Amino acid sequence: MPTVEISGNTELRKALRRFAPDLEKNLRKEMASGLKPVVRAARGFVPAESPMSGWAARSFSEGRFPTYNAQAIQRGITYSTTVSKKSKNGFTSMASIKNKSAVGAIYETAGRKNANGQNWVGPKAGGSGKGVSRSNNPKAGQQFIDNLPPLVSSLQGRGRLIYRAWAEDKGRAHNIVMKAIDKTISEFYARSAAKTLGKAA
Amino acid sequence: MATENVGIFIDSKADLKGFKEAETAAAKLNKNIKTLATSLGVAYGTRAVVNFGKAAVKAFAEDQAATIRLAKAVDNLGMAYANPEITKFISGLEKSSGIVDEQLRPAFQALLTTTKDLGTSYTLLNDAVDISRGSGIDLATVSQDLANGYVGITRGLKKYNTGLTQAQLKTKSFSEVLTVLNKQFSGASAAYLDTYAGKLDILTVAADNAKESIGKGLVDAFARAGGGQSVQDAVKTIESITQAVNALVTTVSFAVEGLVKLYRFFDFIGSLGGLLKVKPQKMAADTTKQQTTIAKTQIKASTALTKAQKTNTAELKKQATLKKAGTVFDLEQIQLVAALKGKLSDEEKLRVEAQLALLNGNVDLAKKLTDQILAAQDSTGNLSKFLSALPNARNPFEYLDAYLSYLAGKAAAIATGQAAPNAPSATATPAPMPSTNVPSAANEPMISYNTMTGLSYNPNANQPVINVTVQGNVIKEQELIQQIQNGTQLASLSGSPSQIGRIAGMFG
Repeated sequence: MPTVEISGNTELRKALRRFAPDLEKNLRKEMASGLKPVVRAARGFVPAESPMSGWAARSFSEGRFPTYNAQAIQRGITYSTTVSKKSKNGFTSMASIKNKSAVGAIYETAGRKNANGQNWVGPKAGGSGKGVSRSNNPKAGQQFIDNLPPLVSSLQGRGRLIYRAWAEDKGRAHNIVMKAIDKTISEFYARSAAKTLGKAA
Repeated sequence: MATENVGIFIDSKADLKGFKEAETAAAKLNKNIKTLATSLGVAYGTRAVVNFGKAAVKAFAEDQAATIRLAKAVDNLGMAYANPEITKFISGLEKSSGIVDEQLRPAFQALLTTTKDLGTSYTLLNDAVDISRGSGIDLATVSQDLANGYVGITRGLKKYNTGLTQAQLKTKSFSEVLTVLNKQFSGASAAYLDTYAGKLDILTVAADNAKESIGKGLVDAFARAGGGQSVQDAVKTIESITQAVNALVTTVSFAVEGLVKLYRFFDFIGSLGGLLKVKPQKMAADTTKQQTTIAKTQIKASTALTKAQKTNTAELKKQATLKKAGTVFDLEQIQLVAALKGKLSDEEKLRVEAQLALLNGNVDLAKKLTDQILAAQDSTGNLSKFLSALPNARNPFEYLDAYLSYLAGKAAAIATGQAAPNAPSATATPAPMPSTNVPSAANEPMISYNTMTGLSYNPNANQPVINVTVQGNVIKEQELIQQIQNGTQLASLSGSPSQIGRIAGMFG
């Protein structure tokens, strides 16, 4: 008896779309139901005002460092139930929660790599490397991080918004998503065995 | 700012499609290399020999066919005696020009059949070789152009860029044109043969001849081995030998496989372990391919079946909807349903329901309801008894018999003077109607229907009485008229507004 075996997220979703679109739709719906609360909680962690007065938006700024914008951060925190593009390491994911905005990413991850800020080289240092602090203030990085809430560890990494929400969710969203995926795969294989798959128009 | 890593990725899996492709390609390459390495040992030599044998036989067969073709053409020209000489000439020219005899023979044949002269054909073929080498145009084309020019068709000679116009080509004789061509291309062949390519051509000719010779020998040998003399017999023998060699190689490969397994057990030849996987891998790949094909076919069939079922269901649904719609808009049914909703007696309700059942084609229900109606009409059963007890229909002219007898008797009495007989009396009385529960018909008043006006008039109905009460003292008719006239006059004099509707014909 011929069997259908699907390996890989992209192939699975492609097969679902072609032969069981209802399952695919239901999968997305169920995954969204698990991810929405996390996104909502993460948006709730965004402070309305800038943690530092100097980071707040001002009428004129020549700097390229993005100023604090709570709405932009909140807008940038989203979830996706589509298969992600292949990463540079060749991995894809079935669903994801992202902090897309630049300012949101800064708030989320500041201090994650260098807890005391990047190494200070000052404004007069040569080169164009981005991994160093070129501020006039040698302690700028340290002070910036100190003014932000502490990083929260989760099983997916450390952060202040989506990672914190993920940690506080305590795996509920993950459980919902994985269950939905497993259920869909089982159903798909069952239909395949029963030959009730129909190609979508 | 790169925010690629600022996100939570759920159910991440390595998409190894690219890696797998690379792995498969590498495995294939490895397999091919091993196959090649294996072949180099035993099979390649055998295979090469067999292939060369086949090619040699083929070359010999083609050469022989060309030779026979030319010989036949020469025979047909009545120059059969010249065949050996032609063969010698072709052979010599082949060696001197570096052009294989498979090309020379058709070219010579074209010239000979046109000129019908051996000497001219020899000369022209030599010239053609030079022209072909000098112009780069293939020998067959050049020979055909020269043959055409010999008979006055010089159009094809223009492409050799002799400097002659089309008009000059037409006006000049072939010998004059040929002189120009020879002047232009003379020695080209010799010059070409001095080149590396020319020398390679000579080598090719030699190899070709060798191949043909070997082919001839092989054909003869194989034909004899096959029990015949023809090329077909030789080919059959070669095929048989090839199959036998392949079987031998396969057997040897199995033996080697067994040895490899044995050696592997002793861990002596670990580097040959890959050989063991070639066959199972291929089998697995074939099985997977077959399974995929079957799965695809089944999915296709399933899709088609589902589609057909959907179409059928949709059609049935459509028909049911149409029927339902038709029922809804059936006015007769609408009226009956409306009647059922009204206040009806039990019997009327039964009648309406029975009619509705008849309209809908529900025979059983209609019969049942009809029986109920009949039972309701005659619950005592007297009516049916009376109907069954009715005598046969009587003769309506029965009384005429008695009357005619009476007339005959009266006439006889007049004639004979006897007393006249008594007149017949109609004493027949109909049977009385039995009593039933069928309500008696109401005493309907007489109604006349005027077909012209469509109105009904009942003369027995009570006549309407119109009472006109007039204020004042009106006793006589004249007084009534007077009152009306006064009223009308007063209304006209008072100036009260009046309206006339001309379209509707109203006045008020």
